[in-house]
Amino acid sequence: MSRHAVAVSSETLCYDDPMADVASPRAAKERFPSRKPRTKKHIVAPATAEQILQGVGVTKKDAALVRKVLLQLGYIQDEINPDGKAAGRSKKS
Amino acid sequence: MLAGLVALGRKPHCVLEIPSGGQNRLDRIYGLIEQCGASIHDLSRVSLSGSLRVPRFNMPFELGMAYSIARRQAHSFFVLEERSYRIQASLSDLNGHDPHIHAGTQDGVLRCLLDCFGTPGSRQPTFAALQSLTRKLSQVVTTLEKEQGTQHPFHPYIFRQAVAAAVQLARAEGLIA
Repeated sequence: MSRHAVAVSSETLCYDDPMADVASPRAAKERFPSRKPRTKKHIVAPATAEQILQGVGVTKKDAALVRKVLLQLGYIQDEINPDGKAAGRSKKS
Repeated sequence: MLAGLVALGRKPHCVLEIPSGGQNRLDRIYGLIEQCGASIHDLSRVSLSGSLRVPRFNMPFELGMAYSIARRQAHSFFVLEERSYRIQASLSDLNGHDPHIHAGTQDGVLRCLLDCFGTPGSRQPTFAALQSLTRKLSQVVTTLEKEQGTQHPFHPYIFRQAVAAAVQLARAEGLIA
């Protein structure tokens, strides 16, 4: 900006109300343009395993078959509880 | 994609959950998108298919529904494409919404998921962890298909079982609680 421009008062340059007169009457009335507030809507806390399973409606039959396949492929280990009942335990690879 | 979503702690849903018949199928698809906080629309498979050689319009149509929902409530929609700039030709109305490009690869899809749903912090799974989970889940789904005598995974029960398997595998890897 030149020295000459600095010497001009801000009123003359319309800095306080920029372009209000030359905009459309509707835009001139609106102090701020209408715009939806920006939010990070999809950033949510990660769901737990139970919440995910409930959300999809996994049945006991589904779970049993999946467990059988995971055991077959060696992705989980079968664990025998002291009461004699088998319980699948995840194996970390 | 299923493995990646579960590893990132998301609750995956799919149109497969909705029975293919019935008059109000469209309403139920709309309701399913509406109940989710975010939706993913892969427009890379809108190619000519079937004996009539017609393009599949379901995915762009569902994207339109998601757009309408996002204008009314808190909902984010993500558009996936295989090739850069192709969407500008196929769906120019969407100009201004940058698609996520997966290059038609599993790794590309996982990168897109990390871009869309990854949250900064130590809890975010690594790309290698997502790759490993995806490989294992592919094997599990192939076995599930064989066990149940089906040729493809596009059945509601296979979807449910795949989610159950992804959850077990992700928990085993310590990716989800």
